[in-house]
Amino acid sequence: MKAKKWLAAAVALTMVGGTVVGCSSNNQGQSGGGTKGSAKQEVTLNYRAEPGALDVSKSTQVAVFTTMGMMHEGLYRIDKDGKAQPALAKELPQISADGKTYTIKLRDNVTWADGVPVKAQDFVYSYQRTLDPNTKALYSFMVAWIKGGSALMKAKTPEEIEKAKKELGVKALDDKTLEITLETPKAFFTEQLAFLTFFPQREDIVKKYGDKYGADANTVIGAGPFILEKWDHDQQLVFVKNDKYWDKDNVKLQKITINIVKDQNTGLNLFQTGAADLQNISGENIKLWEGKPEYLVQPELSVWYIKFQEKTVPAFKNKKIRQALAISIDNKAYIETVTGKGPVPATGFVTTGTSDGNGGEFRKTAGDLMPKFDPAKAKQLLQEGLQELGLKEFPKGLKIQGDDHGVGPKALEFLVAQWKQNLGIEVLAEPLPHKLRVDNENNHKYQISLSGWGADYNDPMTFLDMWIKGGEFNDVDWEHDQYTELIKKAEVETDRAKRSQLMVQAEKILMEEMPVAPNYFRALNWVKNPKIKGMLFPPYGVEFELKWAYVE
Amino acid sequence: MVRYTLRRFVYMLITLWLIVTTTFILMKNLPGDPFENSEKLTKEQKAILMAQYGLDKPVWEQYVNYLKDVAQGDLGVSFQYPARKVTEVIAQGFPASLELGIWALSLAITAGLALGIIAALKHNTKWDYTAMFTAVVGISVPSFVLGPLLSYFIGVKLGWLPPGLWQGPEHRILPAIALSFSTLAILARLMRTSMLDVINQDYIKTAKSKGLSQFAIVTKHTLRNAILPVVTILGPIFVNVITGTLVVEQIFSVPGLGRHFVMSVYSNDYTMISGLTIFYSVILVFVMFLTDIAYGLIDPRIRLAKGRG
Repeated sequence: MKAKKWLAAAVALTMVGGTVVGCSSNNQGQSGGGTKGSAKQEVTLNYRAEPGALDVSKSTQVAVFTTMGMMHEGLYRIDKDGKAQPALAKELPQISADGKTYTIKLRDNVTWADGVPVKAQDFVYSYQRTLDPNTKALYSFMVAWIKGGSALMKAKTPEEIEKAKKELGVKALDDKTLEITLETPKAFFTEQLAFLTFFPQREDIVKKYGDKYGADANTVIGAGPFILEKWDHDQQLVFVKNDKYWDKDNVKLQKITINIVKDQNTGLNLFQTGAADLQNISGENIKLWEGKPEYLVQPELSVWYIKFQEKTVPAFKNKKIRQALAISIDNKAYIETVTGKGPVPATGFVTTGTSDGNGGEFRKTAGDLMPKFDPAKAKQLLQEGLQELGLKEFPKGLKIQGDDHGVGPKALEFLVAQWKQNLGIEVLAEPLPHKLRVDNENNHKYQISLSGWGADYNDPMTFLDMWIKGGEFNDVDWEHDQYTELIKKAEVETDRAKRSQLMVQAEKILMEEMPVAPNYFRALNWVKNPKIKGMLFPPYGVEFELKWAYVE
Repeated sequence: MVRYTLRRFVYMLITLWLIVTTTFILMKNLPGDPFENSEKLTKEQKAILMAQYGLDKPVWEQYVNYLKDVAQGDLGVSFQYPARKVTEVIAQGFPASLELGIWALSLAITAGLALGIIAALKHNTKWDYTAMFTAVVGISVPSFVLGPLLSYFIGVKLGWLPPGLWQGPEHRILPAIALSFSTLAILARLMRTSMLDVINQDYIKTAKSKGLSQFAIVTKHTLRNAILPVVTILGPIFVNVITGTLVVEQIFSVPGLGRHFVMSVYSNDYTMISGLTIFYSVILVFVMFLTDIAYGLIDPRIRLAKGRG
């Protein structure tokens, strides 16, 4: 009987405890009211990912870029036309005749969110910290374009590191003047200065919080239009307008709430009830929203393509076989069947929207270089290719690997069916976890792979330098001397028009040789409350830009 | 009893060590790198990162370091959220999972027992059939089906409750229902069977013949005895509910631990995988330890029998 009482008490405690714990935390949150029907300058957005550390030096995730883009700022900010506009800088940089030295004046009235003035030294510290090998910053390769950057990255002892920092080509001429000297000219460097990795950092804040720097709302500071007021991990980020921001008169929104909603259908449910003003959509959901005023497409600088590994499959050393596999795929049908609206068929390897480094758009400068879908020609090319190799038939049992989630499996199925139907060849689909697919690619251990590449900066080079002979990311093992030579020339060419032409010539070779067969340029799909105006969806870097947004 | 308890304690430690070791071995065999954006890492960068996390050391050395850290309660820093310790992620996420679990369990116990009691008292009537039909549906419909249905129909179509997020008290209701449904069904069936057993006992018949009211018989004699088998399974059910919130957390955007579990495996976040596995294992093993001790207290035959073995 005693035991029974004991157990009954335990049950009672569990139940009472449940109620108590339940009640005690009920008041923690606030209701997620949307802005529908109200002209209050407040928006509530759904976002699919929790940002990692909000650390200028270490960030590589788009979730961090987007968060930091709201609360922080660089020397320049990209406007709706994709052009760099002076932000913390007073004006566009003065560039030396050799294209290597940038002199930049800061605005007089720019301060951090706590009122401390932004100084040129904050940029020097930021770049030194990113390049310091102890920081282990993954995007340091971009900052290493600065003269002496690579030397600093490779420095080993504390003395070597200090020496390299002093020799680094970034100097604060005074509190408001910054001078950056590059190793070689970079035509797109002004735009690059708007990218998160080139934002300033406060030495006192970084040192104060150490490992916790950027982990919570109170361990990070910015100089941008909004202040991160609250960050409940995995749940919600709340921003309020920064009244110390230099351009506060042009910032209309008073409050931005970002709810972390990983499930797209839940996000759409919240959107439909008015509890959210923005949600990204994909797959079947696109069809439900297409044509409605809420629906919008955001093109990305991201290409999806097929890789042919030339060492594991010697037949892929033959150009005609690669071309046959590429032009036997109907990329228009591919998009319709697999991804749904949004992406567009690839017209080259460099995506639409990428600058040509000479004031134009690369795709317009280079034109449509992707050979047309032509099953008859593909068959002929395959036969010719096999004959050249002395083979009677296409190698049997080849596998195409791809991701096992999202549109991955459907894409593999489609490609296999196209090759079967248009070329009469059997290739097996092999969906794999993303990390394994990438691991196989990094180790060159695959036969055919379905892969994607997103731009790190807005210039064709981010897509083209991958395929040079012996290049770090050339995992197809394609070797083409002329291509490599053109890219190497473009890397040091100071004449922007010539540089642009060198890259066009290189892409022509890539599309003629087809070591990789591009399928489509990716796009993100969203539904947005039409009352929100002035919100930008840039093609790379941040996913959305709210500085100029307002509620109508 | 002291010896019995000590022995259970040692078994608990051995079990935990086995879990920790197995997790380590499985983790080491996951293909790919644990780093974000790993497709863009150069070989040099990868080497630097591997060294930072001690992944360049021989496997046995990594294992020894890992055991040492775990013994000291240090579960390391997440690979995906580099400024957050795994213990912090647990401390931030577990309260939501626990709270959701407690809500769901409270609902399951209350409604499940009520259904079971009604079904038993109204044996072979439409009440019984309705209650048992509900129970069968509860067992057959998984939470990943029920969750989206509740979110859409109650949240969007009817607009009665928020379809997701974890803010005011009203945000707790739908996920708690989705999570509680199968447990509710199990408890209802168990309670019904147990009640029917007790109702047919001689002492109940005696009570009836003595002219006691139906209400007094049920509350004083039937319920107290019938609830015992149900109580004994509450411990494991509780653990099951708080660790089984994964799908429901995802569907209703609850900032709990469940979704970290799957995401960490997906992204090879080694420290997070091992940290969460150890955390949940400790809860499970500790509840089992307490259950063993409770059994030992209730029934001395158990500890004697085990003692001889």
